[in-house]
Amino acid sequence: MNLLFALALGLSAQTPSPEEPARLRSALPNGAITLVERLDGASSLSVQLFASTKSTSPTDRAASHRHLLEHLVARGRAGRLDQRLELSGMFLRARTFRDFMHFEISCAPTQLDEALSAIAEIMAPPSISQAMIEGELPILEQELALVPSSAILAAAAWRVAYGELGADPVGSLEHMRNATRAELVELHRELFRRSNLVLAVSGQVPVRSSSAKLASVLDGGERAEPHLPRPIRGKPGRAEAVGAFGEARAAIVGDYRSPATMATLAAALALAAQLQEAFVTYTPSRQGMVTLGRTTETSGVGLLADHLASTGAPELVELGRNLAAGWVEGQLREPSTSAFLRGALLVLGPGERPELMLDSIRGMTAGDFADGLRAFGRDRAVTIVGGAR
Amino acid sequence: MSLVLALTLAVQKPHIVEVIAPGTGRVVVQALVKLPEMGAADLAKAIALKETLLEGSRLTSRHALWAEATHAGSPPRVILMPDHLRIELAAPPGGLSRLARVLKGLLREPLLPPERVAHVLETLPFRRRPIWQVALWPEAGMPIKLARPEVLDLWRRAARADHVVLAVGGALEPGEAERAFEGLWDRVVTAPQAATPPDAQVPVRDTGTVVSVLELRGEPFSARLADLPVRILALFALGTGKTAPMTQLLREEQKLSYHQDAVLWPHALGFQPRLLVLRRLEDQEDGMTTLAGIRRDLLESVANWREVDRQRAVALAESTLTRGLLWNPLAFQPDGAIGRSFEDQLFLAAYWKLKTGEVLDEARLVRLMRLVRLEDLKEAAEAILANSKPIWIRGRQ
Repeated sequence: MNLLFALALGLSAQTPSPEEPARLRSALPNGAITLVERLDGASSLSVQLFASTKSTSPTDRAASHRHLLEHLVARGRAGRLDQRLELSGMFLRARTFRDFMHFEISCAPTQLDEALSAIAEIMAPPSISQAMIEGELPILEQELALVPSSAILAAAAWRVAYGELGADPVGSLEHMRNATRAELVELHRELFRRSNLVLAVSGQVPVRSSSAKLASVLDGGERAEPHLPRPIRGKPGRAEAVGAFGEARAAIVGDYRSPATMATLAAALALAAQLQEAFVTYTPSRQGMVTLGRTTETSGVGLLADHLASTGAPELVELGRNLAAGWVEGQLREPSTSAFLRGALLVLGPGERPELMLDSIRGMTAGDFADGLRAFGRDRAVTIVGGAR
Repeated sequence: MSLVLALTLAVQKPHIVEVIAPGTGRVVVQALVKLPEMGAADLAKAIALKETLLEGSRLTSRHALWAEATHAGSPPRVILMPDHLRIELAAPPGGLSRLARVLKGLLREPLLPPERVAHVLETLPFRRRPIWQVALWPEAGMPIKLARPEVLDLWRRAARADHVVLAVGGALEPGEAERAFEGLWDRVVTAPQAATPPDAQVPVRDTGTVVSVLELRGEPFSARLADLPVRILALFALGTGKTAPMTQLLREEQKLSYHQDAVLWPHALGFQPRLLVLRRLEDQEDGMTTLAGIRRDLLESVANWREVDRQRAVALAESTLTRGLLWNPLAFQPDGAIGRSFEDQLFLAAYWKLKTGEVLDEARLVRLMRLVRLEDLKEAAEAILANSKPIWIRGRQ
């Protein structure tokens, strides 16, 4: 079983004190959010910037432009950011998700200032030329050829459930080819508007003084009106995912905090434990999908999901609860995954935190779990099968 | 890793690497079972083992195994690599004796249900793996007609006292691991593990995707060589990071590939240096010609390395070994590099013991890498490139 977007590392539990809290979350006047978490015993420090996509268009074209922009911005203004970081043993990773663009710098706890300097460079208006755009396209073409079947299956499920609002964050070369310098500069300005930003740091660092440093990086800019996307209800269905091998069932879920969503996650993990080489994909959000699939074989997932959806599988309740709680707790043990989960939730709002997921998981009843299983049934889920290119 | 105590209890079997880390809030047990050099038949048996071991044993049913091994929130795992098979179980603090009982059953009396073994072997020809797994291990997954007794035979040859290292870590008391596994082996088998099987492994016909794998495969070497730090550092210098020559040349300048890496891959003889490039080829493009160009250009790049290239490699190696940087050449798992989870770091400690006979001392390894001179680093990288064999696994057009 493999839960995508899951890592774990055991570290000492943090010990809060009145002077120095274990974790400090700040909502700045300009709408940006910072989080510093002290993980005692952690040898690494993770510094992560999230640029919410909530005020940008949800279309395929915009998603494609975001992915292209991520490639260009990650180079830094002079194109030498990686060189500077790697010479100090630091590493920058950039990724584009549906809800946000994400930059992570892995470094030593003593390198916070250098990491924040790099973050500031990423946030600054980029120097993009048309030649740079054209030079990036062949690399993106190679990247798109590598998109794994699990991602293709999940993207197809989003498309069925949410239509145009379920655009694949990987994007398409066709839209990238048509991107202009002006469009990307404007997209950067919109994405990196302060009210769209979350800066999260996790590791063995002093909380208050580090929090002040983060705030100074995000300083400035006027507060924008919060953008509240209109929730839409996903719909079940069936589709073929061209270029993918395997099959998937994707359950449509609502807010990440709700008991129903967490029961669906628990059900997915319990189902995956019954299958060889199954994967579960879930990114906590206001609405979304928990995708259960397998890319080594083309059958078995749907049969099992339908069978257990009909029985409710009470014998799997404890297994599902343990695996779901274990997944969340596992994320919170290590700087990189903790900053990622906490930061991804703060993109949704300043009060959002993974402990709310744990509350729902621990309170899950056998009935909740049975409902979670039923969400993977043929009539309620999205069924995706791989298809030839 | 929060390493309070790392010691090897080698005076009596079983071989145990114990890592005490109270803050992990769980106990993790891994059994690393050394495998013989595998031909196609043994490999199919090993795959069947990997996929059926967690069906339980005569001591613990499947249901009991899963119930016992998921209290800590992580599922039990079996991971297969060319030189070993790893069983991993976790439990809340205090659960070590129960895990030991589960593991003892799996090592000595696994059920390996015949119908499950048959299903695995029947479906092997139709399986697909992610492209990076295919690149790392193109030989895995060939269809062979076998039955449970043959699968069990491989396990009996492999899972024995002198070929198993147990890694026990987490919230433990000193010596607790030794006590928990006392009497694990009640008989000592001294016969050789196995002769090298006569049948060679067969590489896959294609990658199963539109992407080709282009590889420069270096010569395997012993894990006990004195110059191991230089050889590993050469892989960091060649391929780790976005400013490494593999990325700068092949991705940034020539736009050949998005994913390219230099890896240290497990081999029955020790380790094998490998340079891997994933590329969707142009129409009529010949992969071997492209590979020849890659080798030529990388050799030219290495010849021009300066002190800053050495410093960058040392810095990233230090980050990997002391802080668990995820981007590194230590490809000791099916998906590639070893990670920074407690489980991964525990595994690394035990695997190092299995391969080199010594406890991993990260600080010492970093010190030795810092002492590597630029000229020696260049020589090691040139040797990898010059002595490597070009391999092209075609994509589907």
